[in-house]
Amino acid sequence: MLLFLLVIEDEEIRNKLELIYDSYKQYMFYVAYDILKDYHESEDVVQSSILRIGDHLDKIPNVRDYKTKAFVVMVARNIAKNIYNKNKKHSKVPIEDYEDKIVDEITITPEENILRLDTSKWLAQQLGLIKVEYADILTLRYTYEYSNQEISELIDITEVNVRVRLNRAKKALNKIIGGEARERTC
Amino acid sequence: MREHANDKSKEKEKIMSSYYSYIGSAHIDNIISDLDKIEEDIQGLHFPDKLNQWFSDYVEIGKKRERSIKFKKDVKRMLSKVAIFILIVFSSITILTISVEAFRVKVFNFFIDVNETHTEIRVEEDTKDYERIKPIWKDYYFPSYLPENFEVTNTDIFNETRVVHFSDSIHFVTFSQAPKGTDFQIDTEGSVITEVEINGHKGILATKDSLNILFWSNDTSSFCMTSNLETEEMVKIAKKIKK
Repeated sequence: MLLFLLVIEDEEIRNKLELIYDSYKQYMFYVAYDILKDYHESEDVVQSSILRIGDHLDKIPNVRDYKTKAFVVMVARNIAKNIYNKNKKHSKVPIEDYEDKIVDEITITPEENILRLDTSKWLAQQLGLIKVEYADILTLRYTYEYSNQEISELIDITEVNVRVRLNRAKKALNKIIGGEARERTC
Repeated sequence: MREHANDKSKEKEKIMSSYYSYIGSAHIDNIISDLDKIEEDIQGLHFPDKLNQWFSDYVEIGKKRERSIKFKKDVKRMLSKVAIFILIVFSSITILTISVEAFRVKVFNFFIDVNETHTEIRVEEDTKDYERIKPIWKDYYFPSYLPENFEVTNTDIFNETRVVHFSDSIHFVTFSQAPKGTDFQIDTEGSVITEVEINGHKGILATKDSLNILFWSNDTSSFCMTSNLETEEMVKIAKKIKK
């Protein structure tokens, strides 16, 4: 019920959003529940995701497309992660700090491995394993071509956080490529 | 040199963006693949009905708002059309009023009617009722004598001129009057002109075929009577006009 008072006024937009909701509500709810393990909070995630996606429907040309499905899941997952992180804010070892240590050890740049496109799926997978939000934010920024501001509105984080997360995502990718490069050269 | 370095940097940025986009595409494939693997679990998870209710309400609010906005827009559009229509009608009436004498008289009659009492408006509309015209045209003369079966068929107002049309279905009498000094245009070409005396005032009687025109004046008004009645009958009517 977060943004209940915001309403959709255009029929075409409303129809598109209705289609998105009907097609992907189960997926949104599942990914939220998988993270939060709480029905009520998962409901909030679905509501928040729908409202935020509703504000950025212009970049969704085809609702039935697999890219839209992945996009909706990414938005819901990131919103759920935000709630999860807020719930865990008293944790003694923040997850981000731990991940940053891993990422900062790497020195090889991705440009050095630019032509190795055959490993992209594996790279994305590894990036997701380090932190799935890194893979998500990289995808939202460079594949879906949302601006930093749009991403901040979509997944409910500040623009500064978007930039920070993007940098970390690139560093993490750097690490994976470097590690894999070393494995291949050995 | 610095420009060249900048260009190279921009190109590198483009390449990296494409690379990240490619990685992103792979990430999308991975998500879809992961979802496919757990499709049964996803569909098996109980989805809360109240979320559907929330979405339904949310959409309904949007529809209501949309209908309200559409209604306001329609009303606004309709009002603007009505305003244009009124403007056109008003402009047309204004132009006709200025340019056409007969129409101006009618329009002025209309405005006069509006400013008069309701009784007077009804009288104006019922032009056949002779007795009802008299109270309105207070300072004008009316025939106190008319041959049998004559009644008012129409009335006209041209500035200060008042015209009453009488008829008995076979014969007609058109009685016009205006303040003394008003010009009357009488077609006397080919007519036989004779002088007559009406209540001590000189008058002219023009006879042409079966149409007779009688013109005379008294101290305040000028009169013109056109009729297909016998001239004697017309003179008799003329002599018996009263206010």
